[in-house]
Amino acid sequence: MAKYDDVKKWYLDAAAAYDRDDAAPNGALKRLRETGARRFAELDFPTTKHEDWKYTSVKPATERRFAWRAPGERSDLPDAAKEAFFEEDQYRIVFVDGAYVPDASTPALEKDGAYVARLKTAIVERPEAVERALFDFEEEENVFAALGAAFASDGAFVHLPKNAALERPVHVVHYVEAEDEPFLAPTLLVVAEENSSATIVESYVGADGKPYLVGANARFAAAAGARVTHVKIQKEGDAAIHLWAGRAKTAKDATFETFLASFGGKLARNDAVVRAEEPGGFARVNGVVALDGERHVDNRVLLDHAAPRCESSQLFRAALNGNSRNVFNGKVLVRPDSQKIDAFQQNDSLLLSDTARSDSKPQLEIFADDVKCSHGATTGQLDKEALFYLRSRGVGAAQAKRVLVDAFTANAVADLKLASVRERIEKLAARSASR
Amino acid sequence: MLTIKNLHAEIDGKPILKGIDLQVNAGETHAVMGPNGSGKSTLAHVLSGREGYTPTEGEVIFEGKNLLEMEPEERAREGVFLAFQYPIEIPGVSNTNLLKEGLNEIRKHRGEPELSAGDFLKLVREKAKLVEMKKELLNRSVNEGFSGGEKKRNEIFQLAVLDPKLALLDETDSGLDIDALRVVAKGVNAVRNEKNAFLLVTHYQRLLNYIVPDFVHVLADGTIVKSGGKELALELEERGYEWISEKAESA
Repeated sequence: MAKYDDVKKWYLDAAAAYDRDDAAPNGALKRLRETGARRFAELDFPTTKHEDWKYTSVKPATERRFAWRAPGERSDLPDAAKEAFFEEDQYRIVFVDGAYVPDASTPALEKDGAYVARLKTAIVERPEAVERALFDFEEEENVFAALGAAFASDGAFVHLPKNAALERPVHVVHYVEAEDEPFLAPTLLVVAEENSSATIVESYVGADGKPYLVGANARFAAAAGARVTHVKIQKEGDAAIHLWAGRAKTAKDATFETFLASFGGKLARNDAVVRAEEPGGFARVNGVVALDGERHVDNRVLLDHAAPRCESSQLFRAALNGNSRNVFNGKVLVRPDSQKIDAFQQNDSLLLSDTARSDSKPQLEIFADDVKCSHGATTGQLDKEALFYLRSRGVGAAQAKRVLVDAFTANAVADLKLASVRERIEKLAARSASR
Repeated sequence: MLTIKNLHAEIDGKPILKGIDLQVNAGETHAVMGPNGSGKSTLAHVLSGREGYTPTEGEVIFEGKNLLEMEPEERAREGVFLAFQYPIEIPGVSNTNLLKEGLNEIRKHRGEPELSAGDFLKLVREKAKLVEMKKELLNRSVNEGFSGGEKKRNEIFQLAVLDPKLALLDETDSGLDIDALRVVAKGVNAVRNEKNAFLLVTHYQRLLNYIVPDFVHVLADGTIVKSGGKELALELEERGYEWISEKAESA
């Protein structure tokens, strides 16, 4: 028996046992789960010999048997969950321990053709649109994304018709505090038709000391001229395993940008793949990492320039304290015939302790000749001169440190237009790395 | 206000200050001059508490307290300010935010309440005028993209906002053209009063035409070899430092 066969069997048995039709007229979610389970069975758990997993062991995710939580509803909202609510004015969809909280959420929205709802509602109300979004992407190569798909049954769905502009952000909140080591597999689907625009924020917050597994999937399709901004604020508990797979594609002149802010987790990994399928698109994948203690964050990014005249940008900044670990594994892929590409990639790490560690793997894979690509990585410590300068103005040593960490990380979210979200990320960053 | 007795200090184990004695009273402006390597900048850094500048002997009493035992921020809160010779750029930290944090810490230390946002803004605008600081520089990151002259102005602007008892000006004149020098000096002179004191570290007499000192001290090889009034600076300008150094050696 191979090393992880028993782990696989555990989850495949659980997936097989979950046999609901989700009330979907077309059975789309059920078919997605079957596809996901098949793929999960086919794929191997990666080892550190696998290039994409060189610096991150999957052991924390496989050493426990997390128990699948079927979606449900609950009425009460723990106070700690409210910590994630940074702004009143938003379309909010809230889950606690995997259960939807209607009282804390905005009812399904239909306005000028735009539609925002909990996935379980959307699959009933908009079955065709959800089905198209679910099966719009290529087969998964990431075993954890396949695992999430094998259990996909709830989450959020956002549909923007042609020219629609959502003024308020959509905010999907997942809070976990359950004691029974649950496994949650939320799905976010965003479909932006021609020239539409919206900002979608995901918050993942959890209690410390409680092991749980989040295997989340997010899918974004930006049609010609659409502008989609995604923000993910991840502050899971210190015993949590968080594995997120985001897939996005852009059509002609569309823009997809995501800001991935990671502050928590025993193991947290973002796997972001953005593909420019038609010319003129733009993708930005930025990240802020601020960690302390034994936390480990791994960001894997692939920007796939599959069409000419595209621009892309990646800026990841990590502030690391304690024994924390950061991994950046970013790739720019420029396919043959994808000429006139402008790609930028940068990863900077700030080590705040002697035992924190950062591994950076910025990569360029270029098969076209008329392109402009730059990449770089830096690792350093707090600037002592700057620290002294601030202190000489009366600012205390600890506060001066916080101010400098804040300034360092804030750089990666400087282009985030939504001020309330940006400020929340900045606050969490300063707090998370310099306790 | 400030009493320095037999101060010795070293950098990386190398003795730089070799017994400084200096008394600075409120309302006075002292100029510390000397050739390169004489230790005059070191003196300013030791007084401000900079890491790596280690006092090894002697004492510094500031307003009745042992200055050398304090952390840099405590010295700032007690009323010591250092205007840097080479102000560094701090990307991402806005000029006004830094001042607000610093000023509030200093006020808290003095037992005064925090300034309201409106009062703070008023203060900042008023002091910015003193050194003709462009408004747009106030909210920019500290010194980021500032010209040499703008950086020096920013130091004096910060000095004016934080209103210290003792201001240490480390070669504030270096790198300034005559117009910028005049503006900076005007700012310093506007801040001078009966209650505060200034210690100007400078290589050239030029600055002292604009900020007229009460006392001039000449530093050579880590000790004060001559003290006098403002006319001493003129004499130095005319005769150079060698004259003093030779005198010190023969004495």
